[in-house]
Amino acid sequence: MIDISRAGRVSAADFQFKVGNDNDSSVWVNAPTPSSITVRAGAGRNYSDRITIIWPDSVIKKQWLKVTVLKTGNTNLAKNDVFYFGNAIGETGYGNLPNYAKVDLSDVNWINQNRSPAAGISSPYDINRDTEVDSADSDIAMANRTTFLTALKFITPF
Amino acid sequence: MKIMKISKINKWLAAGALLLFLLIAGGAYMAINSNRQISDANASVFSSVLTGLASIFTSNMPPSYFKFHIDSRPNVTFIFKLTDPEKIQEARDILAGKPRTQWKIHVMGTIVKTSADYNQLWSYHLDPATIQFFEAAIEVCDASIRYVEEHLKEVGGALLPGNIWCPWGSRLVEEVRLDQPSTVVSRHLFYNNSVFDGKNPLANDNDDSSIAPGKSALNVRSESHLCKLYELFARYQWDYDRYFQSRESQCR
Repeated sequence: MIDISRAGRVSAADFQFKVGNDNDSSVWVNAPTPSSITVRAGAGRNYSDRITIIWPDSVIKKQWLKVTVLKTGNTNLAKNDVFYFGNAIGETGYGNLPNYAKVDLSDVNWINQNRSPAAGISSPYDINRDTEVDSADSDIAMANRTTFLTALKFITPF
Repeated sequence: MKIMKISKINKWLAAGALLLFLLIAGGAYMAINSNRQISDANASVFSSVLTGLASIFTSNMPPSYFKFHIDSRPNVTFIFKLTDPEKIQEARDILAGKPRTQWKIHVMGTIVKTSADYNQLWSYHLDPATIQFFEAAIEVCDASIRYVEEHLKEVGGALLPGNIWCPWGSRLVEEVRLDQPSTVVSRHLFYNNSVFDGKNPLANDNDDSSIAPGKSALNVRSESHLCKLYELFARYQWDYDRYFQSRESQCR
């Protein structure tokens, strides 16, 4: 979701989406096409317009998504706005290496040790966001373990 | 472009000078005739000339734009245009919390069934010449912003006869500056099709309830995710110095 103070009828042409997992984002590849881009007038913070971009499940995982909101007549921006979101399925914040968000048995263990029938939205252990921390969550972490070769890197993009 | 600008300035200066001249001339006329009773006809002519000139002068004033929402659905907004300086000032007074009449704060006007460039997100707009602020209105002209959008074809018939729209809970929220670029206010991740958005895969208002509260975007300037990780590592006394030492100051 992107809140823009005054947006028009934006479409995919008003954005650039790239995916990758290293600092040099200039060599990243194009991201899959979003399944929808929707604007809701006034739904954002401070009465801004909220743009919701949705991709099909699992088409972007274990890597970074670079979003460039282009300066166009629909976004009304003075310059392009660039930001990144990373994805590391099963990551709980434990067992990481200094440069990697590695998903391993320590994540699985922490999920198992924090089982709960009522997990809030900010719980790092409710991987599938069903408000329960149970074996389904530890199974997901187990199935998505990474090594230092495949883990999400902590990037400093340029 | 430059020529156009100069021409516009000249027009303003000429109108201003003419207005000033007439005011002085009017003042002189009044002074000369101070010992005589001015006939009603003369005063009326003078007043009409001044009013006419004032309207020519103010017709060149730039329009202003305002945004309103409806109290029952505060996360939906609508932008309208005002060209009348009186109305513009009235809107600004309302926004400043000083309406001229205490409860005359709601927006009404006549719907035009086309989108306007200043209100692109809706398929209709309000005719600027018909907009006024009201305190209370009949129920037949009340409808929400989205309801009008979804039933636009019916507007002017059984729905909102005469295209007159008076959303009861409408309330000005800000003046919109079209002459300034927009800004990215915030960026969010949300859990689509999760329990938190009612297991709905489509983009809609429910998604706002599924925004991940602890996650923020990385942009080159903020490096917020690194700061977050720094805090996490610090809490568990990990050896984070190698990677985070150089960033520590940025996180505080």
